[in-house]
Amino acid sequence: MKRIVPYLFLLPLILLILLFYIIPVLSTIYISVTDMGRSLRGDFVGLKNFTRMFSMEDPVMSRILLNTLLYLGGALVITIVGGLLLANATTSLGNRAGGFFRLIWFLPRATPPVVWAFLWIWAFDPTKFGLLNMILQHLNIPEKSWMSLYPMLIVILANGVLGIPYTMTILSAALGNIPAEIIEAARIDGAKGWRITIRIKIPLIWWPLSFLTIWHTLSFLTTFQYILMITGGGPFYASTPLALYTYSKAFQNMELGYGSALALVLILLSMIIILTFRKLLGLKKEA
Amino acid sequence: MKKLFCTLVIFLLSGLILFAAGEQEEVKKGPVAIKAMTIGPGPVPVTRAKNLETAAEQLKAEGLDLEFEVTFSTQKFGPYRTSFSLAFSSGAASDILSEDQDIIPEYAEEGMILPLDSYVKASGWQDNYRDFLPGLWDAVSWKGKIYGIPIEGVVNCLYYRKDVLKKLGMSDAEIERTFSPENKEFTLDKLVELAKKAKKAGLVEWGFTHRKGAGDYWFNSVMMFGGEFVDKATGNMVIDTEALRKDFEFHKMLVDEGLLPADMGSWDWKVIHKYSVEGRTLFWIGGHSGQWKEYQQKAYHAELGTLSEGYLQKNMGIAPFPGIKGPVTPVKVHAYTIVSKTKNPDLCFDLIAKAVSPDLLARHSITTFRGPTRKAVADQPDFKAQEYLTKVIEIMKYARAFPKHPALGAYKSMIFEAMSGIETGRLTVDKAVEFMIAKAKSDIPGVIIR
Repeated sequence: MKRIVPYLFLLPLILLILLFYIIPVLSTIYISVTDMGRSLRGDFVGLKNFTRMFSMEDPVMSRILLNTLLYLGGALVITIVGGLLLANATTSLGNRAGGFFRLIWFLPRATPPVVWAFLWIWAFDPTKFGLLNMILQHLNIPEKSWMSLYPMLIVILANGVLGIPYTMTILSAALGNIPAEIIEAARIDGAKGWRITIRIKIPLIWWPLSFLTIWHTLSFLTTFQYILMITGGGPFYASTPLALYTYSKAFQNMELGYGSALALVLILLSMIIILTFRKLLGLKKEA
Repeated sequence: MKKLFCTLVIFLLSGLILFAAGEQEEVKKGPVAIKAMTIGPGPVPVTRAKNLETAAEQLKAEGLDLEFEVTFSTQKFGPYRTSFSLAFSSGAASDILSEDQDIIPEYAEEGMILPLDSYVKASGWQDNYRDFLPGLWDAVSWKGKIYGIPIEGVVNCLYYRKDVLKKLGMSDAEIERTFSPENKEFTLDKLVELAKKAKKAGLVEWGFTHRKGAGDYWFNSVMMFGGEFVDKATGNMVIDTEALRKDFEFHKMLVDEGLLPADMGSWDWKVIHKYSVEGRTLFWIGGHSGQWKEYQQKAYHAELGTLSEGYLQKNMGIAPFPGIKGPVTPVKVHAYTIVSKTKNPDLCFDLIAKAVSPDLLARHSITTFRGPTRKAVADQPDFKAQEYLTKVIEIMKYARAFPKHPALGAYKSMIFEAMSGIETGRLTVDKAVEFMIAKAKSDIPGVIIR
């Protein structure tokens, strides 16, 4: 009986995973080999949707994959490095001041997505009514078409900055758990500032840091709502990553068959990333 | 034997009871339930739903035991259509659906809506059938069958600023004459010339503004250059490279001349309308006749807020688009359709027939400022009193129905992407045409490249 109890506790979760992950994935696999459209009926087309994607018959596919890598890399660096810097800075300020600044930095996370997107749209609005262009006008500098010139940079910033609060919170807790005597011993041995952070603190928070890296990578790979609201993926696919392209194919053009094939590639990519990071970051050993 | 007799009696009695219960149920049968689903998007065209409600009340007054329920969705078409597809698959779809003409081929091909020829061409309905404006039946037909009853024409048109033109020295009469579709000098070159003058004089920030995102404007602009969308013989989608090239070159020229913002595709909707109502742009070319009403209901103007009919009449005007083969007024029809899984198609048609009576269609036109679909609407007293709607009818003389094809959504997306590439300098015209061909071959089965 004792052996069964843990499984009984796990059962509801297993059922949820089955219902909301395994069954949808199996449905996606089925739909990806059909030409299903709006009517939700489709004929079997074999691997046609996959060959359309991998043979680059779809002329924007290479662009989409490159965008995905750029977006993923850019947003991840901002989130992890930004979160780590803030966690380090706020924990060194002591509980009260550190807590205050952490609270301020948590505001973006507490902002509703539509408001967050609207703030970025307003800031980079290409007309004279945009925040940055208003500042430029005051400085007698010509307005800029921010959204056309730097669409990818804008979506990387908007998403990357939003990831910082979560990273900062987890890492602050991890840094706060490092015994003070370890840091003190390092100081006595002559280590200072960045050396302590890089040589002592980071190795000690390696597990949460690795977890956050994987977590945010998967999150950036699969979410697109801010991109959809801010740039719509344009101009000319300049800020469209794979997740947004999958959404627009499946739900805007209602090409559910092709959209499912794209979604399957996303799922496979996620799995590859988990396994690669697990190995690279030494999570298997830690666990 | 006795046992067998008893069993037989019980069996017969049970049968009688069941029969009686069945009869009783037949007698007790409640009202006929009809459900309808209509869409805005947005709150303005609510009369698409209200007219059905009024029609249902009329049927009830005639003695019909009807339980009618209509849903009016303010969502965009994407989620509205997804909801319908899911409801249809699960057998929970409404009986009546209001939809734009562009989706009709897709729903017709999939057997999701019913052909209505037997109703609209029936002898009792012939007068009504003939009263609808010519060309509109074609807009709601697919492969020779009629699938919808037109309730409005979304009349895409060009908005111009009278106040700016007056500052350029043009009189009211001259403006009327210039923008009259009968004027042979009403050409794209003339518009560009006026835009250049207004910009040079510092009267406007931009000569032209168009819509953002993938929308109907991209069909208008191809139509202006005489482009085709669907091959009549095969029903397959056509990529008309010559018209597309001209369309791309026109927009590139506007950007190069500083008459159109390069980043127009990323403007916010509110800013787009603000530029239109505040006279910051001379020609708003991405709109439709209903926006005249929208400007009276939504405060896009920073100082004046919502605009009065008087302000609009004084400062703004509408015209067809000056196409290379003459004026073009692209019209997209919105129609009531009957969902194929309905158990009461006859009743659904009776309901729709009442909802498209001239008085209710006039009410719809007056509420939304969209084009009426029947000639008799123009005779309705309330309608006659609307000066602007008279103008709408006038430009509907040059109506050209929007294209219809299941892959139209994909086409609209790719032309918008190509155009945003050109306008922002990411694509040359040649590359944009190449992209259109390659993407169409990938995304649209059976596409014909011309």
